[in-house]
Amino acid sequence: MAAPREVRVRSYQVGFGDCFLLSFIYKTVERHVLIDFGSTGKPRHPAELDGSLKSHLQRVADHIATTCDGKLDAVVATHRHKDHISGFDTKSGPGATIRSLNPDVVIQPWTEHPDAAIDAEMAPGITTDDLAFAKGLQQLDAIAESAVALAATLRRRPALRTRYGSALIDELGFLGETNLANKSAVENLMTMGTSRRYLSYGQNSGLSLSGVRVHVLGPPTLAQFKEIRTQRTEDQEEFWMLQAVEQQTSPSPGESTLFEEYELGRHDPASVWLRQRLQRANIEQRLKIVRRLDSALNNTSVILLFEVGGHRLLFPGDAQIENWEWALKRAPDKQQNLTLLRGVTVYKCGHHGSRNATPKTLWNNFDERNTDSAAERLRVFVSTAEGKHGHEENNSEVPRETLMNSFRQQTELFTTETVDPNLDEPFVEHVLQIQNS
Amino acid sequence: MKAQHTEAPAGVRHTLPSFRQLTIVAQDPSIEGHDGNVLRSKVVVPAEEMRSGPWGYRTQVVDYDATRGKSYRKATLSDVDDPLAEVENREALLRDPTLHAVNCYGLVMRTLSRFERALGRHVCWGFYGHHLNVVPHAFAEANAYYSRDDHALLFGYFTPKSDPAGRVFTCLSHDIVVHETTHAVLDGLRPRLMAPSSPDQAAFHEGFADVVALLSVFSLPGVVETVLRHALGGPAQTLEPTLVTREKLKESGLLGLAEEFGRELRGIRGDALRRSVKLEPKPDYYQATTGPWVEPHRRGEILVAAVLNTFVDAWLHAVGRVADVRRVPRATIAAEGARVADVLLTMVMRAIDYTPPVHLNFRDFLSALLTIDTELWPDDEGSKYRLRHYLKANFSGFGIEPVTSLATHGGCWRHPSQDLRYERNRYEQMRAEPDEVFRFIWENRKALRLNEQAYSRVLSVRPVVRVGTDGFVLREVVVEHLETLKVAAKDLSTVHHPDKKGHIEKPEGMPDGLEIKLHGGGTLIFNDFGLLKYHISNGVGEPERQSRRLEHLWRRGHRFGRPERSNFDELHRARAQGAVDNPGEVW
Repeated sequence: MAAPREVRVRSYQVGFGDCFLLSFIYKTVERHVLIDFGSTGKPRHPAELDGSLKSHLQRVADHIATTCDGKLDAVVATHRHKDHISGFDTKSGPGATIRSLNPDVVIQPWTEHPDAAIDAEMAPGITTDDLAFAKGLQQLDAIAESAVALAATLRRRPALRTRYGSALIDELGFLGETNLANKSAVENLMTMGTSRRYLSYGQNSGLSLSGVRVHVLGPPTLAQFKEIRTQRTEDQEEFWMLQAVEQQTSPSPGESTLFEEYELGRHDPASVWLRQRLQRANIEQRLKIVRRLDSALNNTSVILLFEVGGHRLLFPGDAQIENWEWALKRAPDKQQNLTLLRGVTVYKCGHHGSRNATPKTLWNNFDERNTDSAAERLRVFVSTAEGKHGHEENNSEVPRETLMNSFRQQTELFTTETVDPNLDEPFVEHVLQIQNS
Repeated sequence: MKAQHTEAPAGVRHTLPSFRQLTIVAQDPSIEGHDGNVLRSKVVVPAEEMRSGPWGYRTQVVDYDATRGKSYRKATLSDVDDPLAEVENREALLRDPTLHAVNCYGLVMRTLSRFERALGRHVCWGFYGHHLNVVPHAFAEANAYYSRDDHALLFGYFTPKSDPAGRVFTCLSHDIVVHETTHAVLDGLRPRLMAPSSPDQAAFHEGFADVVALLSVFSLPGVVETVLRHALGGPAQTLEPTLVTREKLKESGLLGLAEEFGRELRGIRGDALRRSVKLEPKPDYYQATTGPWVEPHRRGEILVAAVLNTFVDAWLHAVGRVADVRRVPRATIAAEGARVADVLLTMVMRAIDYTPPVHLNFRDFLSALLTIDTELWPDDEGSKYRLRHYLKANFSGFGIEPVTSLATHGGCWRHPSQDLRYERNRYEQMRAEPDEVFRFIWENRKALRLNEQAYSRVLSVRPVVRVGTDGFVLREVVVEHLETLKVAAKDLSTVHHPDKKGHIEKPEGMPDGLEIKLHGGGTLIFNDFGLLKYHISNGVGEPERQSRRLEHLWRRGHRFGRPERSNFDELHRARAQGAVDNPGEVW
């Protein structure tokens, strides 16, 4: 079969989350790849969503089913965060609808490999060490659970809410929720479709689309990560395990004492000031830990580059700098990667426009950037929801204003923030004409 | 067994003892002594009237657990109590919070008084107030840190991977408690060292705290015996001195001990002992300007390795002096090791007075060490440990050379020009009053090579009383002064230093209009007669040092113009988590 005549890139309005449908239109057939489907917050811009997020996601799933005429060629779940996979939940989401589209292949990062015993095709080069690491990462759910529980406790008590401020508590709850493993979605992805691929850098994607080459640029394997991190992976793994175990055993204030044989002491009036500072520090520490977990999972994102005709479409999930480090700076074939990436014509902005998921090395390398708005230039898709995550005062707002400004000035920008979620077709779309067809 | 009661008759206050002995955990609860019980050691701490906590004149133990929202029972410590001496076994130690409180109190006070003895004066904390809060069970996290804002040392606890039913208390680890106390002491001595500067300065806080912590552990003979047991094995009570070799001490002895201690803590502490023993001496690490060796903990390990190698060499030197004796009691060799550690500990603590107050690097510290040792022991060749010889060799092995020439100055600081004016200064006032010292600085600003455009002020005036090598009392005054200059980035090239060629370079990409605050300053050391002995300075206009600092901070995404702070909690957590530092890549 020849190359497709056109490629449709569609970004559904799901609030804070990702849902992309790539449609390859051939002369006689259409092939469809769904990349991520999840959300952690109702769409609010440019209009507030009527009804529940659950029913909205079902509407999106139904629209996908109709568009692909009941058959998906592939599902890509770039990483395990809720805002990328909650749509695969069969219990409280539309996962059954997606499952019924019977994808030929389900692609996930190697860190999601459930077990060597399960009938899944594992990327060559993944070692038992890698699997052990992946399992460890999966166990870190305790950290997320504990953050959710703590945020709930703090929200219930008005005095604590006032003392610590809703911003801190909301971020704790939000990150906890996002990182909490959605068991139903994970199981659905693990068993959906005809085959499963758990990918790492440089592997064959398993996607079979005529006239389309797919490059896997991330995530690196543990051995590659080790080279990036040079010496501290072992410490890091140990650290995470320690935190996870600890948070499982001592989740929230007021539950138990460390020293059961000894009576508790009285709170000393002389140290009220210190106690209050410690309570706050404790919550901030939990937040910092869950932020780290968030980054760690973002960095497991599968990075896919589709090469079709003269176009190159880059879908990096939420990969942050640490994931990109291998492809851009350390891999033996990094020069080839940079050459490939130079010609990117469609960029799905990493991590909803956060400050550290579009590395400057990557951005500066894009040749198709152009300040002339009349010229054909790089298309950028940003699926995001302003005001949901981060703060301007510490440059952590999502999407990051400086990044968005660069997009506005140098690219053709498509953002879900312009899409009314209540429309019958709640998405932003761009169609690429493929020259050689 | 309780110590003998030493209460003085009423009204005879001067007969009260100034010091007392207190038992502490020698390293951590996993290290056992001959009797199978936790290895403990008696240390000397200042005697004082205490409230329950313990709560003394410089530190208060507040046993509050923020994770659980609980306060644990306070320890009451009279001047005759020594509860850790009576601990029956490891389990008894782990389950009693009051023992943890006493252990922390003992280690904090020992470290503080050890600094004060070395420096010949009281040391204030780096915050306003007399009490350092010590929180032995602050939170359920594998972390421990000093927090200037909380006036506190915070110790976490966690469940080890190897024992899901067990618990590791960081407050029971000798080196962790001393490491964090050292951060607090150093912050009091040199508050500017926590400000963002070069990779060396951030690394110095960590490396110095590790050096003090490890030497503090090795100055306990019981621990040194454990090193010997690992190195040479066997139950023999006497040893052939020639069998004690560098390789054995390092590769079996210290590494053996490293295997034992901190097993559960490796994920948090980065394992300073293990890493520094294994670090092969070469200059590449120190010369690196990017990569892992710029990260503060990693870079700090270079300092730890250089000092630890010096410890081993000096110990062997002392043992070698008795090489013609067939067999020497093991306890004698151990005691010699503990003495070397103690001498080195005094030296590194004292050297802080001989460092510049801002933008410190490892070369400055080496010059400070060599100067202080030369002042005390002019004859290194004939000395028992030859510390200067081994310091020079080991630092040089890692590419760290003193600031001044080894050939002409022996690597020591130079004495200042004789052309200074003292006529308008009053000797007595110079020992205590910042304004009087500032008058001296003002009168001599040209001779001291200060930048006349900069805002200058005296940070501290610290009178010192030490016993000199001749046995007589020696009085010195240590003064820190600071220079601050604000310039727009585009004007950096106009800032000069009277003695140095070149100008400060603006980092690539830095906006012209960005306001940059440059810091410089110096340490003035006045002798017995009120005459300036040393002026150890980093001028505000020093082109090379300032350019390097700006380049480093700019590359790391430092936000100029914002309040400067350093977070040890984040730093420690980042170390354990192996964060990849890529500031140039973010938006």
